[in-house]
Amino acid sequence: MISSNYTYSKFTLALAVSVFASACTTINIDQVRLQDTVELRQGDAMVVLGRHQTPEIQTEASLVACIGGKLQRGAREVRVISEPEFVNAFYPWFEARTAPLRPEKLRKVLNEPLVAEKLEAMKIRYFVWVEGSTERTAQSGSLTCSIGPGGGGCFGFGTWEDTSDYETTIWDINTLEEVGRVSTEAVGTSYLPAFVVPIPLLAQVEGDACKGMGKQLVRFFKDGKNTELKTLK
Amino acid sequence: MNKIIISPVECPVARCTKLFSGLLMLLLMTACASKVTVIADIPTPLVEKVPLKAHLSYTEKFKNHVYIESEKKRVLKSIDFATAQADLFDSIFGQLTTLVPLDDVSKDLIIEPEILDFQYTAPHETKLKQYEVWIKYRLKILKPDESSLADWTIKGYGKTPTAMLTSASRAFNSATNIALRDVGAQLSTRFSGQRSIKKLIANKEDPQRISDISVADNSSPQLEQVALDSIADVEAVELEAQGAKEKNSEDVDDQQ
Repeated sequence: MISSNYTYSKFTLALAVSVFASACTTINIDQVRLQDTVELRQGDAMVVLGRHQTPEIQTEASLVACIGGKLQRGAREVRVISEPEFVNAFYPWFEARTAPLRPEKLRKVLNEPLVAEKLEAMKIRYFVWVEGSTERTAQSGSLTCSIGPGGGGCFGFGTWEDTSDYETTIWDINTLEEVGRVSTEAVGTSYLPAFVVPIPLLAQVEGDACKGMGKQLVRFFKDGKNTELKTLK
Repeated sequence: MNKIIISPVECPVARCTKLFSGLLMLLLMTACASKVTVIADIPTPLVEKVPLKAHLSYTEKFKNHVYIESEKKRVLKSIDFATAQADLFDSIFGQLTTLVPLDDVSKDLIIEPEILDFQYTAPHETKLKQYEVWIKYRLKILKPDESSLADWTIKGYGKTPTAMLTSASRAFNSATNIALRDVGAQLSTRFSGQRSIKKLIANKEDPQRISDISVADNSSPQLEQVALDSIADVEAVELEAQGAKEKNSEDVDDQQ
């Protein structure tokens, strides 16, 4: 009974530590504004889309949705249309193979009367394209776990590094020009020390990249007219 | 002293994680992925209708097509997307043309799709965290008298990331839907630009004009470019090649 309570306490402690402690992520955000003013009126809409044109370029849908959510919370006067809703509404013009890669190509798509009509009806003013991915860039360490009639446990230490590299490009539908870019590079190291019970200290690299990028995009649309270079820790 | 180590496991963290996730995936796949029936989820295309009446003809083989896996070691035993592919072609050509029955004398063309190939890969085969599906179709475009008008080959590619606790059957359903969606997107955006379809439309609108277009086809660089991009003249390429082509054409645009 004592043993059972002791094990229970260890797991509770490990769970509490892993929930409240997390590893650090370093984020670099670089913003380029290509036009002095970015108009955003009440009732306008924008759409956040991920790039998927080749097997190598497969922006995570979760990140695209996360940025959309951040933008919506930060700029309440506009409607942020989700990627699935937009892509389904405009099928087949924004699929992996058919999506325009540059504003000039978008002009060709807008020559389709039905597409132009629908964009106008939905009051879509800006396209925010997200391109990039989060990948594991390094890992090391080892962990030993054993189990027996008297109990079990792990011993060792592991660490790994994840890197996010994303670039968002903003297109203005009215002028059919690129109005700005926000680049984000986030690096985070996660740790897994194990002394009887493994305690994961995870770096939320993709989530942190989303937070940083979302905040910067809100700032891009709401204020600031100069090129900025920020480093967040 | 009485502690007996039953199964000591020592491995790098990443390998341990892969081992456990692999075991979990294996359990899920064994339980769920043997037989899959794909349910189509393709939106109606936002394209203008061409002024042509078409009959969409499905052979018995096409209507009842089920992919049966011959390799015993593979995850999938069978995948049935017969209804899904019929739904796709119904939706695409129903939007692009006016569909009519076979006995309608006013029909301008007959479209007969045929499945040429189906391939898939699962995560444990590629070491990637995704399911991939390739589908290859042949589209026979026939005149009302059933003589050949055009013969197109078109490939669709779909993949889906593996999410924890997502069953393999759901993943196959999703990847197949994306591949079908890809086929539909290519058809919807390129159909009316095909030389044979353009001629047919021109002939229908102004029978006198057909002779002028035939001459222009051989001399006009603009129309030649359309032909080069078309699925009628060039077999639809793999996604990588398509990406490269897109990039090249943009570079050409930039130079111009």
